Amino acid sequence: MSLRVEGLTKRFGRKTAVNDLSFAVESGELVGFIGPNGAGKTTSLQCIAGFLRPDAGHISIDGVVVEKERGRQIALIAETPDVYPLLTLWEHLAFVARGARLGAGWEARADELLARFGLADERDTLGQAASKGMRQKALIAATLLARTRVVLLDEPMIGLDPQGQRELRVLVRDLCADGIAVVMSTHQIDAAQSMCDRVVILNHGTAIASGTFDELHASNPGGESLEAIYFDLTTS
Amino acid sequence: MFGALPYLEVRLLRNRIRAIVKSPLRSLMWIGWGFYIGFMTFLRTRGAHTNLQQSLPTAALATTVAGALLLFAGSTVFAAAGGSVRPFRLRADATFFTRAGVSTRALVLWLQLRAMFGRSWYFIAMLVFYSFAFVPARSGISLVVAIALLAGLATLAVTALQLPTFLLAIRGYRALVRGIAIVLLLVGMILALAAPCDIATRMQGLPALLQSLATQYHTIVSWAPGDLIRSALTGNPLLPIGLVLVSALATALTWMLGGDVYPELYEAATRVFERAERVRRGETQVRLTRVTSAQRVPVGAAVLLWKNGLVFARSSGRKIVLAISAAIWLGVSVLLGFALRDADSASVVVAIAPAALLLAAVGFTTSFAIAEDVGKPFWWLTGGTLFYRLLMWTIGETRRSAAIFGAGVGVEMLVAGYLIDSISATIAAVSLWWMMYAVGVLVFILLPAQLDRSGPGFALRFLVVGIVLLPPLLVFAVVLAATHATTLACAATAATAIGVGCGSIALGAARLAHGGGAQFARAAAE
Repeated sequence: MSLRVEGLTKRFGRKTAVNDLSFAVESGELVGFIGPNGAGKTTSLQCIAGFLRPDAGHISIDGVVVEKERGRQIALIAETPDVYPLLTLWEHLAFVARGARLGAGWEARADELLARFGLADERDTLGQAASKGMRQKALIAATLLARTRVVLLDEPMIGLDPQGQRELRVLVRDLCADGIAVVMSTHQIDAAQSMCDRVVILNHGTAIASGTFDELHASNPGGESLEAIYFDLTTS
Repeated sequence: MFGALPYLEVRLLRNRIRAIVKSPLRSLMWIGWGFYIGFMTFLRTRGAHTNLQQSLPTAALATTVAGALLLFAGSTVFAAAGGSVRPFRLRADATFFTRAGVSTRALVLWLQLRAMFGRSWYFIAMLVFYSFAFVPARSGISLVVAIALLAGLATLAVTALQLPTFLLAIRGYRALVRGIAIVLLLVGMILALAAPCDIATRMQGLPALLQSLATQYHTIVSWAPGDLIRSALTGNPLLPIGLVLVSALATALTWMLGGDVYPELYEAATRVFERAERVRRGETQVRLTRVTSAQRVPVGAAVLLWKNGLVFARSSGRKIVLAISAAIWLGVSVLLGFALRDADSASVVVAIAPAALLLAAVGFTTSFAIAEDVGKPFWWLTGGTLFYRLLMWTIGETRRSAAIFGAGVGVEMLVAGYLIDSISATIAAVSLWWMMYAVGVLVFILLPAQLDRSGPGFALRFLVVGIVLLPPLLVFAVVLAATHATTLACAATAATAIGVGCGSIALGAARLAHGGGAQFARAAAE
């Protein structure tokens, strides 16, 4: 399974937020989006998730272009994970399970997922009482429950304490281990270097570099770390 | 057909009820509210009579109501043409609905039905409640229910127009939709003038040309829409059927246009959510201005007034709203002044102030901006006692609207021919306006939770803010009866209002000091 983005372009009036972006993510792979504020990371993810209509470009899964109603295949977990204030964490999973028309036995799997993410005791906690970390975990659990094939994480580390960040890294790795293709935008370059299989560096809506750290290092020999390469590319 | 969407609605409703039941105070409020409605229904049923003709609105007033409905419809369609629609109630809707397992067309139909029935039933419930609470018993339950149902159907029809006109606009028919909106607005404005013209024809002292124009206008517009509404209230089904047809056609159009529009719905909803956030923070249409010199910044709690002034100066949207409100209010005041030239000065004051204040109580009941300010460090770093800070805050928030209200009362008195009394009446009006806001703030501090912003929580706030008008009005009546001096009665009213307002602020400050800003902000978000 692979997600392929080709020539993605999105304009807001005269401003081009994303310009001819192309990249691919394979099953079980984690691709990082890094770039300064306003580089087009969130807009790209929203276009891929079907929340924004691109002005040009195609998004395909396994070679089949996805047009509309892609929520079954692609899930976007926003920087501020939006949950229903008056729905329990369990009910969020139940909603997704019903929407995905999962067969009998999904309840046991949902319980198992909540336990795996340390949310077993928070099953009946209302969304309004859940912390950002809990909300993120619940949404990731819902994604796994519905067997969504592509997960897009927008700045997932922001607002999490060190413990929460460590847990999130494990969760993201779990997603990949389950064969899900993950795209994660982040400002934490060290996290991108340590977690991601490949990175795409965006600046002014354009992908200025992409590849594994070794590939990026090979094309930018002066950069000893991803951070050095990033600053070299984005400030030049 | 609607996948997991009904499950979501049922669970949200169930959890809302649970949250109410879990709180003894909230349960008590809901039980009391239920008893109140039941009791008033019983009284109305006993007091009902069949001679509805006596209680029906006049043809001119009914025509103005029809005009208001068309203005409502026109502004809704105009906003939809500009992309200002909010198909999703919450941000979570916008992201979760893609996982509901339904086609975009079915989802859009669900959003349409949810908006129509959610808003219209809420409106009916509100109208029934306020009718039961304030309409005289002789109106009878049948008229009250007829008005509520008709208003509900009208809300249903107007709400039904929003989504299909938005979908038409994004599919390339924006100019057509704007054109329809402008026609609705123009016709609405013309019809809305029926009642003021009706009043003008009976005024003494109005220039002959104006009176002649008003008479002709009144003859032209006062018959058709007004009679349609009046006949609907007595059982003619033509208007209700028409409103249901409009709703059904709009819904059918929504279904036809609803395929593959999720990105446009998401973008529109996001824009509206962000705008609402900015409005809540007092950042409407901010424009760049020169930085105010630091030498002009006052010290202590008065800095809250300075901050309020800066926010206002940089919000062009607020200025426009205030200017339009001032123009309408002063126009009404001048008309009333002309109409009451032969009345005594006390009657002139009573004719304008209490009704306007009661209307304002609705606004003051829903004013929640204090949670935003109290939750910020700026508030707690400000000097002065909490009482003084709250005092400055309420003055800052009300000074412009109070000045407009007071000016209206003063102008009405002047036009009616009472120069000296107009000064004391203006002072009393300003004091009353501020007092009601101060009481509104106290009620909000006592009942800050979002759960209490509708239903009996809202009714309770409204009643408290409205009832608090009674002491100053009683003082006015007593002093007037004892001295026959309107100036003295107005002065006594102003003093009472200031006393009640200060008492409310002192209570509010004590309550805030007890829990601190963080506790208050948490309670407000509940």
